[in-house]
Amino acid sequence: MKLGILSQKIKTRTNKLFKRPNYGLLLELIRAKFKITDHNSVLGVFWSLIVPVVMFLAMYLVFRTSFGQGVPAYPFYLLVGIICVNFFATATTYIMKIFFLNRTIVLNSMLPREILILSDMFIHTYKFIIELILCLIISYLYGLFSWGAVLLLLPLAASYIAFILGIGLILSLIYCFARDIEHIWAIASRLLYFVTPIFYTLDKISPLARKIIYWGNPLTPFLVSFRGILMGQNSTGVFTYMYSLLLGAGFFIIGYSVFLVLENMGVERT
Amino acid sequence: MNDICVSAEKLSKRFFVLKRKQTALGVLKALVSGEPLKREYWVLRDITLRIHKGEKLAIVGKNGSGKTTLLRIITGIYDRTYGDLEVKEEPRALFGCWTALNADLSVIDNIYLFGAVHGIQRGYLKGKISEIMKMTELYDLQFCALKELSMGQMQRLALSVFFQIPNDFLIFDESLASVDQGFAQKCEAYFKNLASSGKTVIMTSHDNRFLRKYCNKAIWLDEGRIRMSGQAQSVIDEYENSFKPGN
Repeated sequence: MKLGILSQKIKTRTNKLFKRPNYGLLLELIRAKFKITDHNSVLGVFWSLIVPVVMFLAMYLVFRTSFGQGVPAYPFYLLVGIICVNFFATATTYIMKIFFLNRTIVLNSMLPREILILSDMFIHTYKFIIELILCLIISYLYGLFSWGAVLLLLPLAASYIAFILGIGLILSLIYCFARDIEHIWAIASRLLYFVTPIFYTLDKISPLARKIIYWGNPLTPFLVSFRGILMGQNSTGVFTYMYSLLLGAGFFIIGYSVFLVLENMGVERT
Repeated sequence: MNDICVSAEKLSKRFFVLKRKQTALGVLKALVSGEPLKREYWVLRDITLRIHKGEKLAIVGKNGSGKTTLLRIITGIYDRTYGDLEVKEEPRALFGCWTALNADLSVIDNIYLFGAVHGIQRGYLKGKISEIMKMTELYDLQFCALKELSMGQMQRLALSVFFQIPNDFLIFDESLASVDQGFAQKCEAYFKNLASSGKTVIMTSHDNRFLRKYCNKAIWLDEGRIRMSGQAQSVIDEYENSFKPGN
């Protein structure tokens, strides 16, 4: 598909997406998801907060002596890492199967399909925002909080959400063609906890490993930026922050373009 | 022609289907031998049709003749493989009464959700709730979870919401199968109104009596091709005759 046709398609689609009926549909889907998520569950939304807390406790007990030495506010450092990676892993895993799980809607209605992804993403984002607010409170308790940080946090969080959406859009299509991606992604999500500097700092690994993890794993710049903002680590620099914003926009544009080109082919195979 | 609502020229649709049972060994063998795992399957071939504004078109044909695929192409759910298609008015289609209904949500929540998926906004539906409840006879159950309703009640609910759509181009794909007699009478009243309105309607159904009554034009699809098109009465008669022994 030529670039001009693609950009025209993106423009038409985004216009359609923000038309009132579709905007209303997005709200209805979000409303429905809120009502059925954690339906019949005693602890409800708290389960999604318990997962990172349990992981944090386990990792803190195991890694505090080997990797936590010399890292200021290591428990907080660890928590921010877990929250960010957990958001990525959970959201992409759910989004990946969205067309399969909503097969009847996708094949029998004319809604713009990305609305299903957006509504699902909204639920995960809502939980992520609660976790970020908790992080800001902890940041305050550590004496690291600043209002400037909040201003920097908003574009970064938006960029991270766009990044996850871009990846999710592509995964949702791949899943239509090959279910194997579910298993591959399950392995990759677990590996992420080791190839992303969650419990270790970049300066504790070899220069080569540092380069690979920074440039080869797009989660790393986001994680470094989130920590830089929440933990007042100004040393992380403008470059990593800007790079994270670019990554978010880039992955979203690529993901959405691929999605628009291949969505009908994918849907036929759900 | 300004009064044309849908125009299709040599419309064709191809799917790829598995040649044999897909096993790991089969995939491996196919990879080694270079023999393709799938074969082409043409669901629609060279469909040329014009639907004028205000027309009520019936599509008849055996199961697997391509009726639903044609409707999915017209609504933009599927891409066509070849041919030209122009749809001048955005249609609203009812492909299945269970599309977008959620078993865990209440009846009232499902009304809004089902409506939203079919392009009706909450604000518009709010004013129609009592009408919908009267039609479905589910007044006492509006706050129950949908899973507590029977399949027939769910179908009533879906149809009653869909009937509120104000669009000028509507599509019904086998939507009225197995409704009970009481509700069928209410549906008849709706379709009677629809038949005398200026709205464009496409319907598929295996109930030929119903199609004869409310459609003025028809096409007969046979193995993905148009076998006959014209006045509903004559096309449906011919289609029925094809089942008689000796044809």
